[in-house]
Amino acid sequence: MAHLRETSDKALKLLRTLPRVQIGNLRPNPNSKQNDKRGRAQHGGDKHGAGNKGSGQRQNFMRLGYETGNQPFYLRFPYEPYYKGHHMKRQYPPISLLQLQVLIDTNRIDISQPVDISTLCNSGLLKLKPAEMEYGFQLTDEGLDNFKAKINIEVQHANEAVIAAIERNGGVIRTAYYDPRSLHMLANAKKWFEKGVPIPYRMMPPQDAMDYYTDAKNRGYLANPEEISKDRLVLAQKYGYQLPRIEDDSAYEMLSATKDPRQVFYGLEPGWLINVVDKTIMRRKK
Amino acid sequence: MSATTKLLLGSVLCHKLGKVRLTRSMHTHPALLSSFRSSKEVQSLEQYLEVEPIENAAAWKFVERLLPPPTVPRPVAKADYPSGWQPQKSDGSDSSYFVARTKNHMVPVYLHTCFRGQRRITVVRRVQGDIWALEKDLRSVVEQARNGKLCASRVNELSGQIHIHGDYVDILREHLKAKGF
Amino acid sequence: MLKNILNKSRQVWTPLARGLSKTNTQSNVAAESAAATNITKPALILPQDYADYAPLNRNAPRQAWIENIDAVAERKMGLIELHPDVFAAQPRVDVIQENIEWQRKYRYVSLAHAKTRAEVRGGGRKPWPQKGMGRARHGSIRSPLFKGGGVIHGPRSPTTHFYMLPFYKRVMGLTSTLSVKLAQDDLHVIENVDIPTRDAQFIKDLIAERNWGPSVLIVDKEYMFPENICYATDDLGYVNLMPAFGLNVYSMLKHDTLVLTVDAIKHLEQRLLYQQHRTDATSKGGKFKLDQV
Repeated sequence: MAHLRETSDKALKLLRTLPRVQIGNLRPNPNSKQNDKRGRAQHGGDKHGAGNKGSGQRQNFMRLGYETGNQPFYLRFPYEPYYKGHHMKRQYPPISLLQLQVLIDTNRIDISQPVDISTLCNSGLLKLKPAEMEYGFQLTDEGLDNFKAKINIEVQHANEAVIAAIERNGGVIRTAYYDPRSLHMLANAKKWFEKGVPIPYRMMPPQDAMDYYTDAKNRGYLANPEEISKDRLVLAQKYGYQLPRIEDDSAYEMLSATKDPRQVFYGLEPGWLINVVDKTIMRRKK
Repeated sequence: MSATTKLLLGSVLCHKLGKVRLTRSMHTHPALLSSFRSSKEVQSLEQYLEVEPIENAAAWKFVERLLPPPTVPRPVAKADYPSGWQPQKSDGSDSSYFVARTKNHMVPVYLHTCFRGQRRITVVRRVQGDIWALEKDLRSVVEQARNGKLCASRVNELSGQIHIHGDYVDILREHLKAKGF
Repeated sequence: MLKNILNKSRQVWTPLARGLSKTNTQSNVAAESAAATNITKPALILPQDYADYAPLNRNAPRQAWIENIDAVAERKMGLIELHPDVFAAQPRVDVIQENIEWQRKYRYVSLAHAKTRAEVRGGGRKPWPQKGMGRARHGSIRSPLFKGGGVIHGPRSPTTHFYMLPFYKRVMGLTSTLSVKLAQDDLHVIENVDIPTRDAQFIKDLIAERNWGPSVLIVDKEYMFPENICYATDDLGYVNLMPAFGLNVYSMLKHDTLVLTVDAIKHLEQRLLYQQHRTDATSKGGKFKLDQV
């Protein structure tokens, strides 16, 4: 592969014949530095690229939307509060089934374990900012036909096609609500453990999210399990696929793993204290 | 004994600081209001719950699952990859150039936009070897996609980058993947 | 002279180390150091383990001789294989320059100061009446138009020039500088920093014998250096010791020759490769904030 060593090897070989690279003989790339001074007087004075008079020179731009005396466009019509309270609404940043499949193909998430927010955030490729009203991920249907993994996934929002795509492969999907504090813990669990605080309870969803998470159609975590299993069959018939029986599956234990509605992490109970350094878990003496 | 006095001293300090917080000098008391000092003082031990380590160490595997891997794991060889991603097959020995994958095992083809999205430039990075030969290949691919119209491109040999005018990210990525990069 | 030059071109450009048999190397080492009396240790052959970090760089892996430091005479103690992503990276001299500029500037506070018209002493009184004198109208003798008046837009103290270079430019600066130093034969590997004496003359002789540059930076992994080398280099302004965690672009270029111990090389490789492959690299990408943890 001698021919491959052309760019950097050529440069390194060239350096062997050149004087020693030192502080004194370095200089920035040509034209990489912008001169922030403007010339004065006869040679280079003139207009400095600002044009002749007016807004260009004086920066006295009109305010946005102002139409020099006309009734501005944005005031001509009555007020309609499309975006009222938008800063208070819960945001669910999307991840697509295609993205999820890429994460699985490149070995960034382990699907032999249940997948939740912390799994996705730990990949380092997805980020959740609970402080910016992001309440978890929604799974979208892009790349739905190419999704082939059998997973047990918990997201915060999913539509019917996505649920069908996952259940068709013998997987399990659940939508679950997390309060901002739990989300903060899940987004970077390691950092949170280092605080040395007992794991708190997860909060119940607010009133306006209750309908969504108690609905079996959405695979809500507060829905009746019997209704969910009934709806799995209904969905399979609607989309026309044979529903794989997860009871017979070799990975039944993984597929049936769930969290308690008041639990933040899989397998870790509220009140436990995790010591990452000594690798011990403390709890209240019974 | 001394520990108790220290604690008391600490609590007195905190109490005082709570009052004179606004007049505190950053240089004389820099760290007193950090999380350690501002945390609640230790009370008498009877007030606290008794704790014990849990017996079954099996629970630790749930914690390990939550700890992120420090570095990017290597992809596992599989029969097929449904997402369309594929591992790098070529090591560059059958062509005069080589395009390295990124640390996330992706093909380094990107879109740079400027002037409010009006100028779109496709950037191929991490080129090693004969960058001019690759540029020629990529140009022919792009020109085919443009129905024979010429395309503008530039090469930065020092940093191993090829810039091609226009949005041809998908075409070039698929082309490089087909070549095994 | 010729011998020195031959000695200096000790960097091997072909990947031989893995094929090199142990006995062969031993005999080479023995032949080269016939003068040295006590050679009991086997030759050190340190191949690179690519299991953790596969090289992105298609360059041939670099190799360097491991030299002794227990005597003035040079003996080859073995070979070390260096990771191409760290020691044969693209020599981005422009990034090295940006690192140098950043290291100069981020800690520099300019104390240059000029007074404004308000700060210059006096000048409160109108120097002469507005009208009737036949002279230009003025309100203060400390106006910037006056000699001895205030300065407009003058330098104000203290002015910080603090900024942070993007994290991965700093990483690239280190790999580029190490690659440049290796390519220019200014990087030497020693097995440890245990010298037999605390005499400075020993270090001087060593540097003269091995044709190391006038100024030498010796880097070890540990920050506690052995007593002998500390005493020996204490009075030599041009020989400096540095732990691996303090290694930086400016110091590497300030010294002509960089001398790394085997431990330091392994440590640097491990740290730099970790930075190039870490999963949470985005956490290093944001804007530098003063109060970030």
